[in-house]
Amino acid sequence: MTKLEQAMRQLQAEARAMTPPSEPNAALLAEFAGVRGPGNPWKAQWLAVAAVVIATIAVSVFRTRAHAPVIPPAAVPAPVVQVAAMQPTAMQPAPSPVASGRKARRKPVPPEPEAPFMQIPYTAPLAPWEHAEVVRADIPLSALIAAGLPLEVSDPGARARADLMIGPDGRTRAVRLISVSDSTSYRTNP
Amino acid sequence: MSWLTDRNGSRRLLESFRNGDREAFTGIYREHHPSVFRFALHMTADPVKAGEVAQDVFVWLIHHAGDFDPARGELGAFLTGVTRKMLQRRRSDEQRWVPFDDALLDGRQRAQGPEPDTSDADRLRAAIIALPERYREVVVLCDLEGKSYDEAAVALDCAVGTVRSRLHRARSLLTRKLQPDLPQPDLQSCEV
Repeated sequence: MTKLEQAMRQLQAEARAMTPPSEPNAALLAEFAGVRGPGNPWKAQWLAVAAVVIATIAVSVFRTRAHAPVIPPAAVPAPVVQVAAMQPTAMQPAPSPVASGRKARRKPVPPEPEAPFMQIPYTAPLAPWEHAEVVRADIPLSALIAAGLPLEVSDPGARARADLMIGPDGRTRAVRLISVSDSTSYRTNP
Repeated sequence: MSWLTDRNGSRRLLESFRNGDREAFTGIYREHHPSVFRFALHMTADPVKAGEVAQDVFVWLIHHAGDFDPARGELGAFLTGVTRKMLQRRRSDEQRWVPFDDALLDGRQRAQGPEPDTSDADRLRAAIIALPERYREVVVLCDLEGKSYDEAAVALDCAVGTVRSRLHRARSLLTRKLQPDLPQPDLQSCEV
């Protein structure tokens, strides 16, 4: 018997000694009873309820998406934006109902003017079957310039509130500027 | 004829298990848990990890009992294949997030290797763990678990010839590793 065979047999013996008793533990038996066990009258009912809930959610999501405006990626223009012409706004946090001490009343928000989305250069356009999400964010204008957007800015520290169109891969495809605040107003009202 | 009876018995057991018979599941567990555990133990050299993997395998079996096709092989080989997939998934998860301390310790251990005054079994265990996975699997199945080449081929989803060639290569590597006088092979850089 070679040295390798001897060592193999020793390892086999050690492994057999370390093998735990072959009785399924309580967690495994509970899993079995939950999945395959008989006498589970609630299982079918729960499955039916879950199916109804999933179907309801799917229908509502489908309807929401069907009514959402679809922005064709090919129609996204890339105009040069004069940032100075936009109305500067100070970015202040929304007053919380707790801080004001009374329940905040919802005022009807006037619809914002629909500015066009600007495509970020060198990004692949969305395919017709791809969905995009629009996320509103406060971002520095320098980041937009670094991304390749043709912006003319006098204040390099300015920030913009913008809608970002994000593709299914998580990359931003286009940007729509909502408002711009200069660096002074942002620093005083972070 | 006894093997035929055994095979039919296993099929009946499996059918009862699929129909929700708890005793049948216990029977399958008793029959196959030791080999699943030992395979995981030899592949990981960690009894705790091997126990968790064995548990995962049988939980998976409870949920996917219909995936086993008796026409393609024995349940033991099928479960070995499932164990192999579980180990691969676990390893890829572990490789994604390695604690810094563990990474340092692992590197140190790898650099030092086993102690010089350890037994042949310890040296062999360290050498098996250091083998590339494709070699480690055939050594564990054929040499440590005593499976035939055919059973190993079913479990590893490869040809019998591949099992033979990998086993031959793995044995020669392990033999050299157990003889410190010979120049030591770099096990991680071995190719088929």
